[in-house]
Amino acid sequence: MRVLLLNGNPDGMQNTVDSYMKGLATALEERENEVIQFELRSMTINQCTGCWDCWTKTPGRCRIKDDMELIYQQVPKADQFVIVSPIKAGYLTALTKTMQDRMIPLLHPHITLVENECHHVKRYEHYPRLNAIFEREELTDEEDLKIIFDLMERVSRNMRGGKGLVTTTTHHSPQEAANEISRI
Amino acid sequence: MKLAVFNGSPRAKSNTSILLDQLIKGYEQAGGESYTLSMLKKRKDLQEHLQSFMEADTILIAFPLYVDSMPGLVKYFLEEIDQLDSHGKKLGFIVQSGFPEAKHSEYVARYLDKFTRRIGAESIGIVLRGGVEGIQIQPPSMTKKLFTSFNKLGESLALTGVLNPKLIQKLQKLYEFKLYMIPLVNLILKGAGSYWDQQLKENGALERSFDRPYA
Repeated sequence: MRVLLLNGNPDGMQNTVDSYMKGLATALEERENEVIQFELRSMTINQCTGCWDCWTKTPGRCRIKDDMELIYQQVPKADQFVIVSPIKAGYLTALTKTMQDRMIPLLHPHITLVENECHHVKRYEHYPRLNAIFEREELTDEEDLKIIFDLMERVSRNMRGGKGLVTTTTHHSPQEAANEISRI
Repeated sequence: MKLAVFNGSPRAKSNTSILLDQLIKGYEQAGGESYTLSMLKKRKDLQEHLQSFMEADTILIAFPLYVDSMPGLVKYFLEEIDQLDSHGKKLGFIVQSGFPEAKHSEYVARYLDKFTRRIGAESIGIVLRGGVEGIQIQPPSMTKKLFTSFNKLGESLALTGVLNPKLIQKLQKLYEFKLYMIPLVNLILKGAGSYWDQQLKENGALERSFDRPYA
């Protein structure tokens, strides 16, 4: 499978997420996956400005020309989309969220019902399945994890990449996480 | 009350600002006094916004639902607030979104509720309102009720210090679609499609609507 692996760690001095990413990339490759990595803090990914050009003027393309282009090019061709992020203020990092906001050109503005809920129509035939692995912060408790994992499930519905997303913490070894992600 | 209102929409002319204007109108009409209104648009301005946050005793943060939660910049702001001591502060949120069902916003609402608790602040309410995309082109007859509700929210803030829970309940309208609603919903969704198609047409982009540049 082709796996996109995105590192949402904003702090280069704090490297446990970075180490986890290395371990996960290796473990995924050992399981015959093609891994494409993105270190978000090294990329220039600007805020979505809500201009709607991607839906009404240049369908499928963002007006902002920056490193998000590298991610756009990979998404419709990938099988798995894996976010690895420290938990900050109880959710994935703003760095990661900023990237997520820029994903909407990949969908179509029209709305359809999926399991009796509104969701956006697919632009592409295929989308990768979302997965997310989080590093706990000091105050993280079970309630926080439930909130975060439930939110990931919702994002997964909107990303139209299919069910069965893997959500866990870095408590699970990269090997275990790679096993889960590789299981179809 | 020293009120600080934060508009978390990245857009120049935003639906969030329209709703906040109505809320502030109601707040002022009911005697609400010192308030600040800040736009969360640039990361470099966040320190200045934090100052407004710290000086206020009551804070209201409004934002559009972006990918099931808050826009990236609002998350940066929350990450900064997380570092402060907010004991004694009152904090409320307004989450407006395009899809009609409140269900989509329920998940970030849980996050916001936990966030408020974690920073030691007291919640003054979390307002969820769907079906907001399009209010700028709707006739006053359609938006009057919505705007009046937001006036009343501002009023309740000035008079009681909180966002009236009954009003919040009323504003949420529909949580999720029931089966019997589906045929009507499908009809409404066709209308929603026209909203986007109209803009595509005006931009000469309708034939390219389903373009797949990254296939």
